[in-house]
Amino acid sequence: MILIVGNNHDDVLYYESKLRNKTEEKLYKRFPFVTGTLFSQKVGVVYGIYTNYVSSMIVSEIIKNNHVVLVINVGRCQSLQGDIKVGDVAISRQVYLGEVSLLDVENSLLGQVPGFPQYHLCDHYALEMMNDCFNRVASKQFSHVCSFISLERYINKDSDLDDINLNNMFFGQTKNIVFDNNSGGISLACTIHDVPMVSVKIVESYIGEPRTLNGYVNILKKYSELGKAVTACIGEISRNEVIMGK
Amino acid sequence: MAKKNKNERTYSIHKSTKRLRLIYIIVAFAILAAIIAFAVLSFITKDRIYTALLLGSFVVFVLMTIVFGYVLFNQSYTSLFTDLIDNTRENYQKISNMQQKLNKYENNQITELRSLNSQVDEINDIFSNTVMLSTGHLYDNLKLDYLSPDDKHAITIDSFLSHYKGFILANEVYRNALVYFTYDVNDDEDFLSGEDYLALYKVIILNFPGEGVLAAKDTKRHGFIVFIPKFDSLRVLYNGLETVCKYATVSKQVAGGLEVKPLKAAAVVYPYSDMEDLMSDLRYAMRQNKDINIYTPDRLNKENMELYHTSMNLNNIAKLFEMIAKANISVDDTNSSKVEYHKALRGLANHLGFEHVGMITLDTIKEEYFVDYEWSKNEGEHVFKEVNVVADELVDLIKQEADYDNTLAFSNRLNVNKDLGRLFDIYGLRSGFIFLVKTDSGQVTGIIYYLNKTKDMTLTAYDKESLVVFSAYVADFFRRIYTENEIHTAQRRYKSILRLTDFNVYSVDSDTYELTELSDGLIDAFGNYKHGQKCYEKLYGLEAPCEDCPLLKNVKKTSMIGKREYITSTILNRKKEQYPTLLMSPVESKGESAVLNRYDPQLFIHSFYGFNEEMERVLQSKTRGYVLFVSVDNADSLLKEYGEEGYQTRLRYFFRNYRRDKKYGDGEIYLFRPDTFAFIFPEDGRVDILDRVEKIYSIAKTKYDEKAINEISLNCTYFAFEYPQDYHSASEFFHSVNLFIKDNYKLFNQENFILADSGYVRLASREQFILSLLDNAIKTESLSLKYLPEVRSANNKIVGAEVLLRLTDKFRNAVLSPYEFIPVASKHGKIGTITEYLINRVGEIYQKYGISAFKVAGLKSLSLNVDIPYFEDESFLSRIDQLINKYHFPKGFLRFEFGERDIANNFELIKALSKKITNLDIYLTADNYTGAFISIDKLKQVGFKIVKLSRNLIMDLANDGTKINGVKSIMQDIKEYDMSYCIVGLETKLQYQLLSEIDKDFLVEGYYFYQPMDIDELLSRLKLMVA
Repeated sequence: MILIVGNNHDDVLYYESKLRNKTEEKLYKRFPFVTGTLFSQKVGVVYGIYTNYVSSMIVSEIIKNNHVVLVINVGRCQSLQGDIKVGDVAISRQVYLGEVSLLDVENSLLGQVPGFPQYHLCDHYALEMMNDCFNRVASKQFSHVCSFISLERYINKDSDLDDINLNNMFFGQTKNIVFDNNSGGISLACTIHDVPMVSVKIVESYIGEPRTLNGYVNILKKYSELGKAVTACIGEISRNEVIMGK
Repeated sequence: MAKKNKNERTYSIHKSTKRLRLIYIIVAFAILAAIIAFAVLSFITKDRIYTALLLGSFVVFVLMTIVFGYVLFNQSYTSLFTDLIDNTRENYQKISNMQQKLNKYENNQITELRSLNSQVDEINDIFSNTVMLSTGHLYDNLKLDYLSPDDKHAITIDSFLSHYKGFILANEVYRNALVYFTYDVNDDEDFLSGEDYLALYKVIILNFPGEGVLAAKDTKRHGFIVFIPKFDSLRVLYNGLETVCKYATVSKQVAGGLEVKPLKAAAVVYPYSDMEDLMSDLRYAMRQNKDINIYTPDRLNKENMELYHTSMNLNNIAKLFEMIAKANISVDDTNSSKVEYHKALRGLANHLGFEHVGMITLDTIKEEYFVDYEWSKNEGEHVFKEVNVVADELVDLIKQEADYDNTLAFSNRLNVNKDLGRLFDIYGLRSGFIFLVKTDSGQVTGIIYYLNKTKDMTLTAYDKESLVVFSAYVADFFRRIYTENEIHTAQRRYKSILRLTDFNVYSVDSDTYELTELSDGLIDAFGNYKHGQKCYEKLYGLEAPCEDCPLLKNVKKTSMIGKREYITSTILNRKKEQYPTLLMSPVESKGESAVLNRYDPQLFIHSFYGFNEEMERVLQSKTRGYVLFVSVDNADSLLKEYGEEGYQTRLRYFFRNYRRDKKYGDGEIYLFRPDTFAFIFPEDGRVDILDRVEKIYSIAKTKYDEKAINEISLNCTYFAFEYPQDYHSASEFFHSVNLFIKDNYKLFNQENFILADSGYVRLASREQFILSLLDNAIKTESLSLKYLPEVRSANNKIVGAEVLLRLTDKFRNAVLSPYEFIPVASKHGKIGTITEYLINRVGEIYQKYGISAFKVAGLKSLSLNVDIPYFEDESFLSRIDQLINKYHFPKGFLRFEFGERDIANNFELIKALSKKITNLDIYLTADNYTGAFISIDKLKQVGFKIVKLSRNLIMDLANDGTKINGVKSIMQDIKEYDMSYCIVGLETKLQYQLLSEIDKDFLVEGYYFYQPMDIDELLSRLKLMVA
């Protein structure tokens, strides 16, 4: 199964609408989980997943009970002003846990959960495939391969990032960085279960700027382009490749 | 998720030859069967057809065998053996030179070679972390041929030359010298006897008695080659060599009288010369023909950073210190000096394997730490450069954690405390070394850092100490720059204030009244003083001290400079001084002060009043020269964009930059009009003025605000007036100038230079001017070609010619050097056009005269000078290929000449290009060769066939016949490598005679034979040769 994870229903509506032979259930009576097929590939869609805590728990649960071969995290994110514009698409190269700071624990780095790597590399092949699909299918959308920094908040002011920021330097990088709130948890779950993952999100706003209804609506309009590319990628995977895991 | 492996296709040479063999066997079997069948049928039926078929089959069989044999041979030899042999030979050479990066085999598609390549990778991995250390047993493991069992210094020459690398390995952590002691004796002379050699040997060992010194008699070079390990300093080595030379002079009674042969010493030092270059550098040192010559080449260039980490020898670090010691460092030219230090920092970082190196400096005004310099191994990946400002928090924490020697080293991220670690994580740092530059009070004013983002790194004590010493050296320099800058700033302000206020100062020796200092205003008015000149002579025109001298009489003195009155006093002195300073204060008269101020207070240049006074003086003095006027054509737009203050600031910036130019910034600047300024250049001629204009143009284009994307620069018209001509007064002169401006306004606003007297007009920008010349020449197909014949010296036969592109500057009556106009052509995308034009012209000539004139007369080649910019256009070679095919040049007819420096600076690139060039049947020639920058061995490696010796090698032959030995040596070396040489610049009979004694028949270019000629003359000379 390929699992698609989103914050809210809007994030996953496109994929849900494309599924055939759908079945629906609610995990823990809270989290809608729809399964079906897309291009003969079994696909699961779950939403209502906010924060890394929840994403880690739910994704882990789904992986345990289903043979998940790839997790695709979709939705919205925030970027730094400048290189990645609002409306552009960010595809994850690696994911950092921006709220983790256990430096007092021996041998731990900033952002590192002890026993885990400092950052989680997303699946290279899925990343390339996704990039390629974007270039082919979603021609109006600009896509960037980025580092995702996952926090438990929307960043409404720059000072929210003081712990991990020095003059706009984050984990050794100054550009191609976006911020979201659930990639980190998904990457942890995938690391434990050795399942590849990739995040593909639209930039909703810049950090330090408030989210607006207008902005949100504009993003929704772009969801179909994002959806086309992601489904094209799923189609490629189901047609060509035997997914063998990391 | 694993992707299907779409690996590059490989084939096994073994399998493919097996396949071929199988096909051959099957086909051969079939033919043999046919032969037998035809034979039987022929025998039975006696039919001739079967006999014919039998014969035919037999012929087919033989032909097939030949073809298969050829294909097999070609496949294996061409693709396999050449690669195997050449590459393996190179790799063995590298290992013997203790170099790290071995080459891989090219034919990676052959399975067997691919597996060899993976072994090469393994060896490279091991070598990259390997350092060669001495076994400490001196030469025990070397099989040396000692001349006597009791003497551990004297060995045979063959043994020496075979094992000298081993000597160095045995002493690799020290500096070691290879020295040739030689007498200047002709080869056929029997000047030196066995006793002379013995005496020399004794002197050498007496002065260099240390353990490990080895000496070998070299009768071919009439001297000894000596290995001196572990010497202390170059000065000590030099003293030793000097002593040997002093005591080893040989004098003999010959038929003409007493002949004295002094001893000469030429030395090279490892590791300043790389292992592979030692012998060629030593030969070069000998060729320099000095009495005592310790040659330490400086081969650090932009392509050559590899030099410092391709060796497994720790001693390579010494090269970087040597490089800094020899670099042209000056606090007066901080920019160039900084470049030298940055180069050295890069070299050290590269050598030790750091990914990033840089310097952070404290901006004392903004109180911020900013990145002054940063280099990263991978372009685009930086540490601090992208944010530019470094957080104070980081600097404070580093300072807290640093050792007593102001350094912080961390081999991996976990070896720092958590607070600093958090910040390192934000910057993504894994390992590194940091050196703090501090003031005496402990304030951190700078940081030198060597960092890694992707790997851990453990530094040995040796590495760490090298970094500490090196960084301290660099830090000291930058501290000095900082102090000097402060002093210069203070000095500049003081001088500016004096100018603006028209105060003047001068200092004298209180006993002798000799001047020791004059301020700028007094220099303007009276000229600079000579050492020993008295103040009363220079400033007051007297022959004895002034009666009202403030120093003598303790009164204030009144005097005039021009029309202005000054009062001189000793007000600046606080106590009795040996060299008191006297202050000349202007006396203010109402209404006049502003007009009579010689200095414009807004622009810091001389005022119009000053200009007027100066022109009066200059015209009366009857000296000659030029006044250059610079009219700012876009003054209005500058005023509109930047306001009055902004405009004046830009003008001041322009004047300041002009004055800072060491070569051209010597003229005084005067205000003529608010938008027109004048420069007075005494003794200049019209060509000098043009040189100045080109320089001033480029200064005018310097951006004031480097960060401003659309800054408006000064657009000026430059026009020059010669003086004195017929001008009798300044007012007459100014009237002419005003008239000129009025009459020639149409020539303004185009950035022209106009020579007022002759009416000559051209673009002020040198680059634009050259471009216009080029464009015109290409458009009218009038790019001038000259041919400089290459001649065989024995019979004057022209066997080749160098094609010279000529672009003439008619104003200067000079031919532009290709080194100047080729880069301009390259910058504007005209290189391809020029070269194609050249080859087309050559091709047309070859088509017309190739058989009739060239081939018959024996003209075998035409050479073209090429530069690296040519090859930056990737399609260049393919266009050349097309042209070659079009004109069907024979193999080797076309030759490309590269200058020695170009080859050395772009060695790897040329090596990569050489195969492509030779595949086009174009031969490679090394031009302007001296041996200083690259060895003959390396030229051979790359595929150069011919070496043209620099004209400098034979230039002084007429005056100094002893230089012939140097030339002889290089000619012999070239021959030993199976290459040809060509002597360039042969101009006199004496040079010819001296060179003929070495070689009766050599290839030569020079005015003694022919000067550059056009094609018609070349053809007529060729015809004469045939006739």
